[in-house]
Amino acid sequence: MSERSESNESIDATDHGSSPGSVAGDPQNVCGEAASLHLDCGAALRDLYGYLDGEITEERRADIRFHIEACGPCLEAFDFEVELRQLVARTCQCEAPESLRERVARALGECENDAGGEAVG
Amino acid sequence: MADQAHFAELAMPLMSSLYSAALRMTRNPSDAEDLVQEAYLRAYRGFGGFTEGTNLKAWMYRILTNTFINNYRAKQRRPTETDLDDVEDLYLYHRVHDAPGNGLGTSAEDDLMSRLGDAEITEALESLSENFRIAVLLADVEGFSYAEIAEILDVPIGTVMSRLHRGRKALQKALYDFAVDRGLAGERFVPKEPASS
Repeated sequence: MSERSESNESIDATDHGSSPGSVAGDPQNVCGEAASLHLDCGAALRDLYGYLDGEITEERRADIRFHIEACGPCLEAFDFEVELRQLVARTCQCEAPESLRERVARALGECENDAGGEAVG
Repeated sequence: MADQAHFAELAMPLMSSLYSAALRMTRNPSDAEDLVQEAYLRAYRGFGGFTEGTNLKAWMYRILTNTFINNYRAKQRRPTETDLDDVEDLYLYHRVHDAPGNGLGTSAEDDLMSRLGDAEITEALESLSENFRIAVLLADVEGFSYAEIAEILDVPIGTVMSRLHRGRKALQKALYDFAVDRGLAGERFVPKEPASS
């Protein structure tokens, strides 16, 4: 894959401080309830992966949590992504075969012997 | 400087996790085993350069990924790069949730999830191009942070985010396409009638 094909897709996660969802310092946001309306669904969904990945600021996190607790459709979308991710992770996790453990342990043992200069016959 | 005598004790418990990733990278158990062994040997030889107390798992993944890229990539069939420009975010969710016939609070999304089997999921993941597949594995299966993935792959964080964004879309599209092919979703899918009592 070329770098070019990646570069046309850039996610800007650095602007959380100045994001419209940021409650602090906003004179329009006079009561707590307004916060859920303040962050619209588009903004919440744009940060869905940042939220699930734990890669957004605490303040932004709190805004999103507040929004999805009040917004059924967004909560559904978030839940779906969480469950899908858990399903993929579960499917991909498997045990290393015992034969591989033994093989690697043996190979490491041989390396150790070589390094120590004490080849064991 | 890390003492090689501690290597096995520290690194052996990570093997199942590394093997799982190797399996998705190489797509077959025999190559996965060879890759894991090679990565352990390289890690052992290079362990002097590892600072004890830092993130051993990320360090091992870096070696595993580099070994894969250097030794196995040439053997891999190259998946065709799908054009993702027309693929929306949350593709799978929207395909299922917004499908005609879904309504009245039935959870078509949960139903689809329960119909997707191991085969659809592994095949969908394995159909992704290498860069996407590895980024998605590291984030969604192993739970590494963007910064750790950047370190493991030796790319800027922006590249990690871009690969994840596109990789997740590609995975969802592949999952949906497999589900449609196999009659688990789309027009050919006929939901079971609820059993009458």
